[in-house]
Amino acid sequence: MSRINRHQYPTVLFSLILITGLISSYFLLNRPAKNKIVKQISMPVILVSQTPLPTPSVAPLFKKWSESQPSIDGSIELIVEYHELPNSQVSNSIFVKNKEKEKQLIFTQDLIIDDQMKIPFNTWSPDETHFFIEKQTPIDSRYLVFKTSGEQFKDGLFLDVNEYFNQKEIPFAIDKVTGWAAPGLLLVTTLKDDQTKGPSYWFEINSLKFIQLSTQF
Amino acid sequence: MVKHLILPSIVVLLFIGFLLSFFLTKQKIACANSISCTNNLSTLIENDAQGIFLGQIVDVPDINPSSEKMSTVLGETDQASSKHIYVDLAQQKLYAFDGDKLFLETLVSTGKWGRTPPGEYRIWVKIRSTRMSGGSGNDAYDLPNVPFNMFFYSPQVPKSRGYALHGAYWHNNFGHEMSHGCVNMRPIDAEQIYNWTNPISQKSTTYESVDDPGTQISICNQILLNQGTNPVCLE
Repeated sequence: MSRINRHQYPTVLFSLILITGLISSYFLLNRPAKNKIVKQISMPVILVSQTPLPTPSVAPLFKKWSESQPSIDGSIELIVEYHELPNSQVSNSIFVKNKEKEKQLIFTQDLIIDDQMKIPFNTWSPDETHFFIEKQTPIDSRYLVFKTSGEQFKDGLFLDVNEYFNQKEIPFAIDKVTGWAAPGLLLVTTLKDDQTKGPSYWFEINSLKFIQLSTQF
Repeated sequence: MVKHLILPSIVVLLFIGFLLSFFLTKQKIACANSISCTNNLSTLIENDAQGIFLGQIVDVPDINPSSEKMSTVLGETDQASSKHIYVDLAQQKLYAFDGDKLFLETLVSTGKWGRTPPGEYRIWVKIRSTRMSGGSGNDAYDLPNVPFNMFFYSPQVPKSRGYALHGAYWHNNFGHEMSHGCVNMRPIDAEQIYNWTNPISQKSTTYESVDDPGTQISICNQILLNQGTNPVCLE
């Protein structure tokens, strides 16, 4: 065997290092996984019943609320129930609760959230045959008269006081419908163009006439 | 002799004239109900009658006292002095307090044709039902079965003037002046106040007495409400 020449030392050394690196890499990459020691816990066996698990109750997402007003002798009651809807509207449902405490739906309408059917303090006619509702919007209020029985008027389920007032071309604007001067007579106050108080009117629900009063209310 | 009588006669006549003018001007407070006034202070129930108000015929609700229980607010007969009613003419509101506890707050209608006079009053008689009439022309009214009447008086507004708190079945415009001087309330509110106030109702007509004086009523142009203290009547 010939002796390694001095000049061949670097080459031999490099070769040895390379071979060692290759062999080491082989063994590193192919080493077997270590055995994991798993703690063994004995658990009781639970038989799963066949009935479904109870689901937790979810609080209703849509609000409900109501307001009401009795008639002047307390014998019957007007109720408006409000119910938020998924489409951001609110259903407004008007009920009459009679002497026997039975509830009758008179009218229902879905309104945008800024609008609302409100029950005025003086909603009931003194003879309890009619009531009026104030439909409030951010711009104005409209006053609707219904029959307690839920029956129709000649032109529909309710009288729109504002609409009839506008048809008469009275040179004032409705300020408020304040209540009933007598059975069948709604009291309407008005405003002039300069927003000062105008004359007051009776709205006669049988004839649909507006009668100007000599006294302001 | 005649000459000696002239001067004394003039003095006497002047004195009589002074007395007449004094008493005539003292009658400035008109009757709340110009026709019925206080003509009949016994209970008057007229079922199946018709009423008139503002030229409209009004159906009169029936009253059946035999089916009614004479109810009172229990435990309060000895606390008459703590009860006090306040009427705010500006807001058309009534507040009933027992001490500093609010018993009832509601809207009322005071005088439009004939102002309800402000002042400090006391209830002197309670009458379950009476007839009230007055006015003239389009303003004329004749109303049977006016329910739950509590007549009040003061040194300035005597009993004969017939001012009262009472129920009103002929209109529903509370929160606005609608009466001829009395304080109108919804019948359901009048019934509550009637059963709460002194004198405690023993019969359908009950007068106050030394042992059971009537509840005080303050009728004010405006009322200032503060929590924890009694309402303040602003002139």
